[in-house]
Amino acid sequence: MYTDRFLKDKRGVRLEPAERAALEAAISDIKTFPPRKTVVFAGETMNFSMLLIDGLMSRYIDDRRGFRQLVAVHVPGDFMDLHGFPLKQLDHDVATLTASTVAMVPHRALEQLIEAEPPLARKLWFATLIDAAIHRAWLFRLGRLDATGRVAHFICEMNARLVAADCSDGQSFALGLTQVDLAEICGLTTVHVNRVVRILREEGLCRIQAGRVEILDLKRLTARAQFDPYYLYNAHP
Amino acid sequence: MPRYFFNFENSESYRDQDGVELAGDHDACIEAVKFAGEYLHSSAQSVWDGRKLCVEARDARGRALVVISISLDVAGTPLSPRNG
Repeated sequence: MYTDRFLKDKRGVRLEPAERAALEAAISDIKTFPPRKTVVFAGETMNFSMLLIDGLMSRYIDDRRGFRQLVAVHVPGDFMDLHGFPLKQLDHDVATLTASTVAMVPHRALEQLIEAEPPLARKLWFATLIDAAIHRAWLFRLGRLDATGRVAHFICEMNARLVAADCSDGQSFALGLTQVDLAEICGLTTVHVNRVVRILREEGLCRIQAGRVEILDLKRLTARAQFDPYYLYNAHP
Repeated sequence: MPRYFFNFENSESYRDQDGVELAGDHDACIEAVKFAGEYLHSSAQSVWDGRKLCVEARDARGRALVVISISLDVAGTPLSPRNG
């Protein structure tokens, strides 16, 4: 089912089979998008939310000169803009990083779903709270970690999230991001990202190359990143 | 876009082998300044140890566009000839 990865194996919440089936039935259609395409613009009135099935997507804000800060990256199983359901308008843009497949869930259907299965509202709320926890971790990363720490932390987080989504075996995974993307995630110049990628490789922590990450030493990478996966609320971190 | 190379030196010496694509010479100079700032923030201990940071931006032909030199003059400790 398209909803299989949503809230799968999370700590503190479990989607019952009936709830998952009802959510599945609420999907109105499946859309595929090419890479590097903005699919929702800030300020647009939202009538649907998107569940990411395959690919990598981002939420970002551009400054007035067109320089970008990514405020979130989404992996398969993420219900990316569930917060658009109450908010109705987003304060950021949503775009694909790689080619992506998305399940569209109309807000109208979510409302009916919540009426039929009231505990589902709290579970959808939980999902948006995990997003908020990830934003806090990103704030910590940008505010406190040095350049190498920031990239290491992001790689550890992606590994943990992709393992939970069955898109990584924990040792190597596809991550279709450029060094420019990493710069826009970690608040660094591309020059610095380039140097950090080299450091991470030379110190035997991880190899980031040609859209793939290979973890060389997870324990030391995690320590270098000061990474603790608690904020992802995975049942098996 | 043209490619630029950013080398730097303090207590370590780093030669940029990959380079970065930027819009032009001016952007490369600005990037060098920003990178120097990031490096000071991220590797303060390294800069302290070497008492200096030197960042240079070169174009693909090897021509130096800018050299940014930061030296630390620690009170009561004259700069040694090594750092001078």
